[in-house]
Amino acid sequence: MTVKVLLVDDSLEILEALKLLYSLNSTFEVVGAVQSYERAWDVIEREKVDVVSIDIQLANENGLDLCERIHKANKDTFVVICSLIGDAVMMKIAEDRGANLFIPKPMSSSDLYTVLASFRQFQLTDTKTIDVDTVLARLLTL
Amino acid sequence: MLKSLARLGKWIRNHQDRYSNEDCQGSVNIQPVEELSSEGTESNILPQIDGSISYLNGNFQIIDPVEFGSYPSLTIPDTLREHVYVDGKKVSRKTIVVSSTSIIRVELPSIPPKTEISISVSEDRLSVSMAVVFHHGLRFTMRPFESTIKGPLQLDETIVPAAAPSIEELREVLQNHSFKGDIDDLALQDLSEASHPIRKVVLRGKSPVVGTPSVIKPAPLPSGYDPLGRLRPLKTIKAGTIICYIQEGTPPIAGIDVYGNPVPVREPKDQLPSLGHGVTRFGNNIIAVRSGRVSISMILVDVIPQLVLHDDITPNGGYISFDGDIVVYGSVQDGSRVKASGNVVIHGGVYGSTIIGEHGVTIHGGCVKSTVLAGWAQEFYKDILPLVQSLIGMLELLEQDLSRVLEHIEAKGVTDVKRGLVAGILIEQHHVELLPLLNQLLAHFRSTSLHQLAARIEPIVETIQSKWLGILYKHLTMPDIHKLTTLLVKYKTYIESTISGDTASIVIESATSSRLHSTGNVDVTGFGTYSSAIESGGAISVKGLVRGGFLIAKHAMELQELGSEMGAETSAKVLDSKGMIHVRLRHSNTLLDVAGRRDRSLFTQKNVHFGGDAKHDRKSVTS
Repeated sequence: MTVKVLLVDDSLEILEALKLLYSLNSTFEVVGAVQSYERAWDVIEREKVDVVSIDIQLANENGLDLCERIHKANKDTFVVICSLIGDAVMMKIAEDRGANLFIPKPMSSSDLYTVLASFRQFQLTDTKTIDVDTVLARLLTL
Repeated sequence: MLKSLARLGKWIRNHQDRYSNEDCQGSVNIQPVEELSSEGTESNILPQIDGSISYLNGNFQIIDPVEFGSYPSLTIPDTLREHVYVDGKKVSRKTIVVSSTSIIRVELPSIPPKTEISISVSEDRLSVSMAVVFHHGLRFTMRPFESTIKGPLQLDETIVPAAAPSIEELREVLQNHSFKGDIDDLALQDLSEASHPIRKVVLRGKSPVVGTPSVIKPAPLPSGYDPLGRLRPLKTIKAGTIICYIQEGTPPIAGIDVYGNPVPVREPKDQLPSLGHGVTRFGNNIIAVRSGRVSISMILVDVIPQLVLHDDITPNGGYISFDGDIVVYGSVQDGSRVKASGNVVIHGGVYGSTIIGEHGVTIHGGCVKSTVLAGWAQEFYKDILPLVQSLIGMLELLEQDLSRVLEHIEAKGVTDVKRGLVAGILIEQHHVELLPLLNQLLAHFRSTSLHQLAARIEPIVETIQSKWLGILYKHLTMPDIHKLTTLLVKYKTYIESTISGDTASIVIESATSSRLHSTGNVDVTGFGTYSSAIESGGAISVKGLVRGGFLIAKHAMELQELGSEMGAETSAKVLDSKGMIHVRLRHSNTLLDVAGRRDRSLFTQKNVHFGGDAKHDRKSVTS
């Protein structure tokens, strides 16, 4: 089962490089590479996106606004902030606004694996606690 | 004579009071002599002759004085005070008066000569040295003196040289110590003839002889030129060629020390590399069993087969995967995939394709929208590691859930057959990602079946295929889950230790919208890179421009131009804190990062040196 990824960055060159990175791992499927807030939201509404990679500086927009909006709309979406600004203060702000992971640019293939591992962990912690009686009921029907 | 008379007169005057006429019985009336005149006195003056002492020919001769002459005396120096006897008594004074009846005896001290012989054994106990030290003696004789009233007792010293020991004496000393070995007669002779302190090695044991290891020596190989490229001599050989030979070592020989004990010597360690699949050994010759390129290193001798393609590679040609080197005298067109366990050399360009070379990739043209990987096996392992980590996490969670459910239903009295189905239910309903991930793992294995490194994953693949695929998972038990978890944990440990291995480099003319990843260096020799992601386990060098994208190197970076006048976002990172990024022309909106120390520029700068420490920074701002 592939992980659907949406890339959001105002730089075409960076989007190109990010697409190359994410395509390295066949687990990821890049479903969109957009340069603005609005276009990103269009893709999110249209597709079931598992991971969104957002740059903070999106021309005249703030990527953290998009991050917060996604987090409020769907907590199952894993948001990665990928930015040139990589200080601890910004990381904290991003976390407060709903980011699940912060990767300062430049992004490497190791960072890609970090995204994957973090996403997997995110999925596991999101799993509901097993209801034992439900399992037992199913078992007794077999 | 006159002096003696004057002294006598004086004596009388001084003692006149003492000796009065009344006191003396039968005394002589002594009248002092008032005047003395030489005339007519000789017949009235008593003769006074002092005594004398002399030491000649080893004897003292003492003459007593005449009439009132003085007795002779002997002056004794401090050093002899204890050694002079007069009339049987030891002299305690510096000067002693003697007479002809005195018996004078002088005990002359003497120091006899001595020769000292010492022996020492060397630290390695393979030789014995003998040293001879001479301690010369001293003989004292009394210095003769002529007749005199005050005889000076003086000594003369004579050095008595110590004699060198004879050869027989030296041999006897050696025999007394029961040494074993060869005696050096010449050394003994030197010792016996010596007159000054000397040390010589006189006996030697048998030194051990260190062996030499067997080594590989390359044989002369045929060479030739490629008529198409005329680039360089090809180092390819045909099957049956002797590529190297083994030079046998020499065995060690144990020694014997001077005590007769054996001296062991370590066996030399052979420095023979392993033989690859492309060679075999006949006697001491290593022979190629297939045609290809010779590869001789300290670790491995092999013949890497070479696949040479003289045309462009297209998707019609299929997926080229070769255990050896691949040389393409053309370009690689869209949709192609070229993978080699050795080197890949492309003389043209690469478009929309994937090039993988385990030992390195060289592309004489540029690459566009392509992926170039050098050091493929490490790439594979890095790719598979997060998958393995995820699987381990999932399986551990499954074990916990299964254990909890089994405990709960134990009390309900559910039969063993039913209990055996619980794991399947959990996988179906709650751990739905597990089976797809296991299938991904299998897909990875299939893609690496060419390389022998995939052998490590085979036990895991076998376990998955026998217990987890299809409907088999419905009957999984706790031991089955635990077994797979254990195998994956071991594999994860192996991957983590293997990821750093031999480095492989990429040399390329240019890269556009491409990904370059090498475990060694990346060298871009032409116009530069655009919108590309470049990663290097060594250093990155770009002689042209770098516009957009990411550059990440482990140790260092040398760039001609970074970014663009229009402010294309470009970032460069070096992981090593001692690393350095050097950029000749740096535009605005570019980021430099060395081990977490980041600098984003808003101006154009020239000749920028940026390191992990601010004190190494240099730059000049132009705008």
